[in-house]
Amino acid sequence: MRSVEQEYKRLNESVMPSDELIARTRALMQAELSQEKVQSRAKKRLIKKAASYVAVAAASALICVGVMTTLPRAKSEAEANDAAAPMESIVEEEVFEEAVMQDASVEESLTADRADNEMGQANGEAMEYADIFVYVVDNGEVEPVSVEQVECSIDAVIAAWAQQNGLQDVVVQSVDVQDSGASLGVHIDFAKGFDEKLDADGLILASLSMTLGDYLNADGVILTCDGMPL
Amino acid sequence: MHQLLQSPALDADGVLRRHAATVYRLAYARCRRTEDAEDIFQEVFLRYVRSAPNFQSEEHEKAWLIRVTVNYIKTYYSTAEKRHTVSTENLPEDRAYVQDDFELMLLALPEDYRVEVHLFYGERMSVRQIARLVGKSENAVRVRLTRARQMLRKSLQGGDQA
Repeated sequence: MRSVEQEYKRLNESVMPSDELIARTRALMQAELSQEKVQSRAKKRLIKKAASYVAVAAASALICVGVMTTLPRAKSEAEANDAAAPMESIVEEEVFEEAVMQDASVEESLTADRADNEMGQANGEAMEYADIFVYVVDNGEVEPVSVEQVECSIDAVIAAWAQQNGLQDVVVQSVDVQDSGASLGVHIDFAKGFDEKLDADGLILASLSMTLGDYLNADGVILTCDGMPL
Repeated sequence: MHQLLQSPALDADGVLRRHAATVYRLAYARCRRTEDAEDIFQEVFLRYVRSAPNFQSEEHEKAWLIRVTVNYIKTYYSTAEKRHTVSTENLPEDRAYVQDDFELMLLALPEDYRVEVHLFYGERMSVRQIARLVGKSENAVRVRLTRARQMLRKSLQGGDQA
């Protein structure tokens, strides 16, 4: 006479996950882990980027004061215009940084006390430059911000998407987010060579548009490769 | 075993190695279909990676995985599609392939009873532990186990006589 307990034990011990299933699951777990790593890297990048904006903002404040103090003593109008130029191109980070370098002499003319004073004013306040909002809280940490945050998230989403689709070396040249309040548009420009990775029937592209559209709830997603429409 | 998933915070490889059989057997006990059991198995371990829980002991780890498996089984079968697939299409097909007579007897059990039967006989859990896991009263679990045991005994007696 067989007992339920014995029979169950016998049958249960014969049930085992296959090696193939375990290997597949391990690969999935690894992919999931690396995806989390991508997100974590994106966060770190965001903080780093935001910190660089803080530095640029602080430098601009110094230059403003520097310009104001040196203007009366300016030798020519041309010098004064050069010194004021960075304020007009402040949105373009790279151009601005070049301008900062050009105005190093102005910056050097400031005393250490004045510099400390300006930094103190910057702390705890929100500084607004076009679409970029940078907040420095009292403990010195950077709190990231709207458009920048969205852009870094897009980087992470694209990296995860590329990994899922087996695409390597997908480089994003620029991300532009246009939020008018009523609608949200995203323009992503990929580096040269991205178009060669795409399939003929456009399925990969459609998948990316959908992924981004779903993620951002965007009204329009424009994808270009080195400035050329895909 | 490969050491692919070494992470200081998450011992994913170790967890997979230690509890693969437990999770798979529980999933298989409920659905008795390899494909469904594999789906559930993968999802449970992916949830482990996503949640990255901190465990105090191996028992705690095992209990967490069993709970997630039980919960996911409920979700898995709560979709109309899955209910339809199992109850009307694939089950007779599966029965045709089942060689073991006791497995056929388990297939004849009501689907809702299978998880509790497995936790009792397969995982050697107490009625109280099972009740807590499946979210039912101890009495309800006891009644289900008694009914399942009666059905299985009856089938076994019939099988032995034949």
